[in-house]
Amino acid sequence: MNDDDRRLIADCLGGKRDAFGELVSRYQTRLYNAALRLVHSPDDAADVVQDAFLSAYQALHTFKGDAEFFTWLYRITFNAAISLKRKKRPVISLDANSQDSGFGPDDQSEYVKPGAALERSEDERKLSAAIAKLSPEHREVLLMKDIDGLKYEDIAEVLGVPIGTIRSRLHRARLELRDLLVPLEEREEREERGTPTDSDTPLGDHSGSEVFPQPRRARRD
Amino acid sequence: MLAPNQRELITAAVDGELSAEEKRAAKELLETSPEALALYKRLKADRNRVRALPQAAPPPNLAARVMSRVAAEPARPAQPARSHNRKRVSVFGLIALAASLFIAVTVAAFAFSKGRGAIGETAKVASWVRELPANHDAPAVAVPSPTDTAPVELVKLDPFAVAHADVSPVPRVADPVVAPSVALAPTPRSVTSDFNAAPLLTHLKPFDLIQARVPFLRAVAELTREDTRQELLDELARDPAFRFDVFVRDAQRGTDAFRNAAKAAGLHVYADAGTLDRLKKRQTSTLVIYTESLTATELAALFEALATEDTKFSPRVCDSLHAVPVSRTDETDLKAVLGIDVGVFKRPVGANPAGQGSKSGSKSVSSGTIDQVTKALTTPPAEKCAVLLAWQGTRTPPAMSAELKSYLAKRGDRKPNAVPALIVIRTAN
Repeated sequence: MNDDDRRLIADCLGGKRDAFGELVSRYQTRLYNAALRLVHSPDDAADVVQDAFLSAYQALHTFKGDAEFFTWLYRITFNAAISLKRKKRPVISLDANSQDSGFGPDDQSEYVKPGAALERSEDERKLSAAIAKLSPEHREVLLMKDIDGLKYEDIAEVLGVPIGTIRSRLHRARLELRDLLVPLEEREEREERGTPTDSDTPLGDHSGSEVFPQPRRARRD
Repeated sequence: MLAPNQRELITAAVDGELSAEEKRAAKELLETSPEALALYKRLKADRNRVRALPQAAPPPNLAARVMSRVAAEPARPAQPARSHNRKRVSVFGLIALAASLFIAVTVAAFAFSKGRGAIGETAKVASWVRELPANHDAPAVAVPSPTDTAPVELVKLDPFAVAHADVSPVPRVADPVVAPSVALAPTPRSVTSDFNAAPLLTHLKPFDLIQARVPFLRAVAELTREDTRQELLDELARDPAFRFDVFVRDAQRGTDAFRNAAKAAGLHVYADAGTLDRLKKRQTSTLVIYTESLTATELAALFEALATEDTKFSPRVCDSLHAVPVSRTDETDLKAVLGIDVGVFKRPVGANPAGQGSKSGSKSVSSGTIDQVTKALTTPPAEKCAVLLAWQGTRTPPAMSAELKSYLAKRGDRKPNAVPALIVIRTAN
């Protein structure tokens, strides 16, 4: 834990609420984005972050400084998001379910929504599309690691699985993402050289991949 | 072509989570294999691209909303108030207390024995540091507590171990929509490693005073003693109705002993013939005698007589007597056995010490008429009666028991100071 966090926590425990406000300002964006990926709604994500910060404030005296303060906040936020998701789990009738084409993605995160991708640069759009193609388990650990900056043990703690499983999932997620990005990169290279491109090649077509095997679908570890 | 374990080594290197040994192996692999190096570079570039993805901006007033809710909280994070429940607890409360003390002593002894082995360098190392793998991207220093400035040694262990144990507790998050009211567990007390050198629990607050009611449990042989008899009388004064469990070594002989004691105490027992027959054939082993004719003093005399009768058996047949207030479950069971609700908890009419005696006696006195008073005084006292039936197992249907009908016909109104009693004769295993 960095010195600033330690000082702010000590100040907060000493009765200075402003110190906690500084902690909120410092971590709200990262927590909000993590919550947004979990609850898929800006309003719900904001609620989750509020509740998480309030719980953290109430339990601040129990924080032992044995991990990064952000990691502790992250765990609280994750639990709050899961709690909200359970509470808001939609009840779908059998009729409605039967009308589902089955072609749409199950995951409603921002990496799957086409509209959100349009607002990004071309490179970001492709990367987001590739991330969206990952299995939920792989996408989850990859984003926790790369975007949220959690360690193996923190991810394991949050998800309740062994560290070895996290390492294995991340390994497969990285290779799967690489495999998804290869056709795009090859096409870009061909465009740069002026050679015709195969516009029909879908993102997930791995025909051009020579190094990595076909990624397996998500399975339970 | 890279082997699967080599690829996993490379991805772990990209994650920055290698042990020292793995780090050496990865370095060697990257230096000797161009394919491995190319893969490493590509994966690391992918990681950097993912990291560079733009983040969504939170609502501009999010921090203000958080702080407004924080402002509604107490000035310092509050610990939950400990409730002081001074209500009576059952015997199980005492057993639980004794068990807790035993476990606490056991844990303390275990912690002491562990602590002795850890004195030295390892004693300074936080336990969670020993269990979790090191982050090789981070500087090799552990994270001290906000209030602890002592340096801690970082130890690297098996990366496949499950992360758990001594980490900061994550508070339970309250309802995301409604303003939360979070119940927090108190901070766990740390165990002193050197048990002998530690002060003798001087930091502990005095134990809370808990008023516990211990049910009456005595050997039947003790019921002839005056002090035990007085204890039983004190117990019977606390509740309106009681269930007595008489634990016997043999149901048949125990029933005989009780019937002899009842006869000596002037209590006529209407014993269901079918139940006695099944008892003789050893088809039933738990019986109930219900009476509402005896006062507390008479009940104590009855059990004293039982203890006396028990001495006539060799070896003794009665083991112990357990007295507890009648529960609603007992009332329901009794209703099933008797076929009617006798109103165990119902207060008798005219709860007046002067009204002891028959039904007509109590009513006549309250009516205040000379004739009725005269009649009450001249009416002989009602028979003290009880009924014996099976409590568990096969029972005689209430409508089929002539003895039960006789009892119900003789029973009359309950005396004002009578204590309804379910006397259950059980076989002690």
